[in-house]
Amino acid sequence: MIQMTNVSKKYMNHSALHEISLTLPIGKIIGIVGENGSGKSTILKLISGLSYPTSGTVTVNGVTANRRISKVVSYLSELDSFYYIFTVNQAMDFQASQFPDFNLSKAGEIMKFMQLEPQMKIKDLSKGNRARLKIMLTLAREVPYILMDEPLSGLDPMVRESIVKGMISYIDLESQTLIMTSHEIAEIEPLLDCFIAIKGGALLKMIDVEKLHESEGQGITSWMKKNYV
Amino acid sequence: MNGMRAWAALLKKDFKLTRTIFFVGLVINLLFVMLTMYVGKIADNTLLMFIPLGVAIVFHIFYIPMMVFISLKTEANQLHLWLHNPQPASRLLLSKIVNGLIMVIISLLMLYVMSGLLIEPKSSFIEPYWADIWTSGLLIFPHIIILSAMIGVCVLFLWSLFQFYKFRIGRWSWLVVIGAIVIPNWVTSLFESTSLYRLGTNWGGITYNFPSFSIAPIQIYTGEYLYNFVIIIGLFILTAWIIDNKVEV
Amino acid sequence: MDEFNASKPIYLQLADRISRQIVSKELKAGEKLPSVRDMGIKYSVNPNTIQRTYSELEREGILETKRGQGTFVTEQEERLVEQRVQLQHEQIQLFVQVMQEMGCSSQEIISGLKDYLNKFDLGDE
Repeated sequence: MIQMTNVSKKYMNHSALHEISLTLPIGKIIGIVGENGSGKSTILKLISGLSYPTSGTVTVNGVTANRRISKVVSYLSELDSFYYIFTVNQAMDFQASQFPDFNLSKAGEIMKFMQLEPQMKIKDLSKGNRARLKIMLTLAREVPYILMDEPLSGLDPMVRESIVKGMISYIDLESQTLIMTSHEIAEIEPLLDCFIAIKGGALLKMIDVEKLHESEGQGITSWMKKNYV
Repeated sequence: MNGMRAWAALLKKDFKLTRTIFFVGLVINLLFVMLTMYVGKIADNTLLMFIPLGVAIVFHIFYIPMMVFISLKTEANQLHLWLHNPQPASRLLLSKIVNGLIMVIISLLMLYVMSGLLIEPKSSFIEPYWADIWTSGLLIFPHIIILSAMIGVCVLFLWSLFQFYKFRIGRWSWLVVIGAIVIPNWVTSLFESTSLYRLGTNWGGITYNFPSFSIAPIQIYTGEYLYNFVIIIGLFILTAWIIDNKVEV
Repeated sequence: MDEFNASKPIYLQLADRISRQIVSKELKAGEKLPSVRDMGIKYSVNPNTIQRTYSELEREGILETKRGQGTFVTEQEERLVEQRVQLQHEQIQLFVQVMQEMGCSSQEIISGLKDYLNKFDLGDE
């Protein structure tokens, strides 16, 4: 379980998050939505222990998050994150050497599914293939929490579809939770169990997508249009 | 076992990040050796020809800090990639130091062998100095390596300090780094001039004599080594702690 | 990717789709359905949602889960016939409701429907 309690985050004189409290269980696909700069990415960084709250606490399975929480959290940054000296295969081997939970056979499957060339140098990969590689490296870890920051942004529809299908194929919802940020709400809506709307660093809403339908008779996209102004 | 494998993979990665500069360094070594040969041809004084070689060797003091800095610069471009790793920061950092250490040893070894080959034909001239050259080599090479590693650790520390202050005070973090160089230097030089320092470190003295060089004997103390060793280890642990608990992406 | 209507939960929309596929015999009685995950991949939908769809249809008696074997269309023909009638009824109700809102009388609806079907049949043959 991931627990954020009264979390605020300030960078110098800019406030990124304000008094956020959340509990995220295992076995869900959770979307964090909101406009650029609303604090979505900051939430993922805090959970992965790559950033620290100015006040409040973030715990993962009861442990306060610092960078070594990466034992149970797999994090994908929205930035490019590779050592460009590596080939696809070397990047995979390196990931496997650093994370004992990295499942090489699963990685191989994802690589095939995503049609990645193992011998290609990363610096020669197209943008779409670099995105696919990033997904492969993150998704092949058998950890309870997989965090993906904007996994679909800036990619063409073909790549987005293969990534979405890859997520569904390789996430194990019996033992894992996938949390992703996105501003392409319509596209990820069918994927989500639950969504979190963040606005100006504050929590606007967190609700199961199904409950939203029951209580408001609408999906995320139309809810956002009405309430996220 | 697993931990060792993970660390070895880190070291291999760090080598790959810096290998181009490593090979460039070897080429520069070669150029210095050629310069030495050239000076040897045109100069009458045989000892003079070893000046370029000497310069090349002394410059190795900056070898590990440079390698560490270049390596960290690559990591800083995508800090989340380096930090999102279950290994403790001490291991991540050690890999960078050890990588630099291996490289500096290879580089110095190359210079050593090359200068040996250059000295060989002049051995008759060198003969009276031989014992002293051997002793000074024994003194100089390890000290260059140790000094280089120590400055390397300082670079790690200053870099982590910069990363820590980056999000707090923005561009002013350079001032912190400069302050972190100047103030401790000032404090330690004050401390090192006290009698307490001399009392604590002036033990286990070893004296090196160079009868053929016409210079005063060099006196060193085991206590001073221990003192520096403790400071460097402390600095390394502090750096690891900052990276594990304070640095953000 | 299949588009879904935002006004209704996705699991119910999928349940409707499967239900229609069964009525139209696209899925036959006793036929095995794809696993939750495969179905999720097919529609780019969360496997948990598919699970909810299957549970819903099981509750309605259209699907049956055999432990360790998967999910199947029920072999109880009368339940399927009933479902067919029910779906027809729903569509007719919708149609009639719209027609009535436009102020059509029952006579008009019937004759209009007859005309349309005749024309459609002629055009078809």
